[in-house]
Amino acid sequence: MAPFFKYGFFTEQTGLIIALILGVSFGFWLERAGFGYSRKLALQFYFKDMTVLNVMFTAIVVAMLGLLLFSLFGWLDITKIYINPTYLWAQLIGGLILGVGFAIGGYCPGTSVVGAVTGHVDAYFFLGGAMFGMFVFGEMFPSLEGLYNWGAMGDVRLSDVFNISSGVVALAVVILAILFFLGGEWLENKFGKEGL
Amino acid sequence: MKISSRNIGFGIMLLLGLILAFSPVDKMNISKVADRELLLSQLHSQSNYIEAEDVAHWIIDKEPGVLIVDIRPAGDYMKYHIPGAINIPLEKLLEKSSLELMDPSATLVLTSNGNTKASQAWLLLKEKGYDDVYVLHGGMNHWVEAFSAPRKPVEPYTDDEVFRYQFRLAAGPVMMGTARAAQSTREAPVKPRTIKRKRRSVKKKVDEGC
Amino acid sequence: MKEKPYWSPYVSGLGLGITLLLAFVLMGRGLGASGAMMRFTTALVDLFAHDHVMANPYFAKYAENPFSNWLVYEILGVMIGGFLSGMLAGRNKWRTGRGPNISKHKRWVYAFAGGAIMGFGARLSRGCTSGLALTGGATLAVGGWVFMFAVFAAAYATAYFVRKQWI
Repeated sequence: MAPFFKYGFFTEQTGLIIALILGVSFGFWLERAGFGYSRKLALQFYFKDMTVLNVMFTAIVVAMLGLLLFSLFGWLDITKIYINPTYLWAQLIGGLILGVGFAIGGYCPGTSVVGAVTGHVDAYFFLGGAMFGMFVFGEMFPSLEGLYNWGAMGDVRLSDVFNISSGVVALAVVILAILFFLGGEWLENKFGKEGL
Repeated sequence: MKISSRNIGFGIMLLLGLILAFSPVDKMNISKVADRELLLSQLHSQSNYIEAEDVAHWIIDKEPGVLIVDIRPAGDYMKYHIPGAINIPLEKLLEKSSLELMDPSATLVLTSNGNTKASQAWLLLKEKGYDDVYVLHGGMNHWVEAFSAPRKPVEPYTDDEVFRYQFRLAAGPVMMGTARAAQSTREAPVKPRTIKRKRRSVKKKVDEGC
Repeated sequence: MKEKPYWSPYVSGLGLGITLLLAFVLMGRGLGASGAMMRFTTALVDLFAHDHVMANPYFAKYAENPFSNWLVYEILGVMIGGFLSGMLAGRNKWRTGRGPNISKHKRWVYAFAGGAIMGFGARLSRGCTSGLALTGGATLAVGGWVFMFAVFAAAYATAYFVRKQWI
């Protein structure tokens, strides 16, 4: 039964090789979507190219449906899947800061790596900046510890908070995604689509 | 609406979402209880153990979400205990008030005098559905020995051994709390660290995030 | 070779989603990026000031075997995969991504500043767009969804002030 690693189907060393292979696939698809090019990413925020939203929501929906269906068929023990722990306020504030950085820098950490290997000079500056920002965070960590742990809620899912079945949450996410896709296409046409 | 591959994709997504919304997805999750073969293999490979140093690191780092549960009788607990540990004697482990003290999403570290009772408690909690539970390797007997009178490594020693020795010396006063060398040997002292095995999964806690 | 156009976002999203699903099925965990960058940062600081790293609890937890880690291998894979895809489409050449109304050097300054802000934010929220928004989004984690909407809200709000960079 999946997840295979948690059931000891292979060792940690094999896991690292799998990480490499999954990373290749991850990088490949990011580049295919055009996420190596900062302007394409940033035009998202001017409603001229909604690729970021479309790719992200498609990926989320596919992975989410897959997870829940596999769990429904009894192929996968969903409780053994790592869930990002929620630190509500830390993640809200962190997200706001990161969003500002996204609009200014034009990349996010994963895409800047793809940008760098495909020859985008600005991605190197972005990477340097990101490492500097992380260094600053590490230096300030002792005084930020309270903020860092603010709003700790443990491994909670949306279904726990709203007290509904995760299947219903999944349906809501699918509907939300389709609305975003259609709305995105409408906005692209309205604000002048720029095909890059 | 015209039929394009995009619209077919949307349709499939919506259909699968609808199926999920009306199916008992969450009922399937309970399978985590009583996966006995997995528990047995963890016991056998000793991956349920956590080393004293790792726990000490967590205490120093104030790692959030870690709870140390001392399952010795209350009297022993009063004499000395690991800083920050709570006391739930083994016989009260499954009482409702005790279970409420243990957050299911927390990382639990069970300690008794040796390994045996803590391992039994580990099994009980795992069956109760607690996912992240460890047994302090060697129990309090080893803890006291490690931090109140750490043994100097004998030649030839590795860097790792020296580092561990220095860490134990330095962390000793904090880790021992009030009483230094207390004598309590209800269970026969266990000699830990006879088996050299790789620590895995324990470290996972540190950063899985992004 | 002439540059080929990017693939449809839905196709790329499907590929990305299947990759993410495979990560869940095989390893029981999602993808990520900024954790690996934190390890590179720590290793770099460690090179110059080892005692300093050990004294800081945040650095110290990344300092032990910084490169023998899942995320680091994954990021190496991302480099290979991105390069391969770019090569196959004839997109690998030196250039700077920018709008028509900004000079190359100004864009570099902005990229560095944006990166610094993002690096800080990514560590505060324990993840970035791939590790928290994508992975957390797919596992329906509350933090992932809160984070995702916060990112987009802040980015749209900021976009107006930096529009000279991009359009």
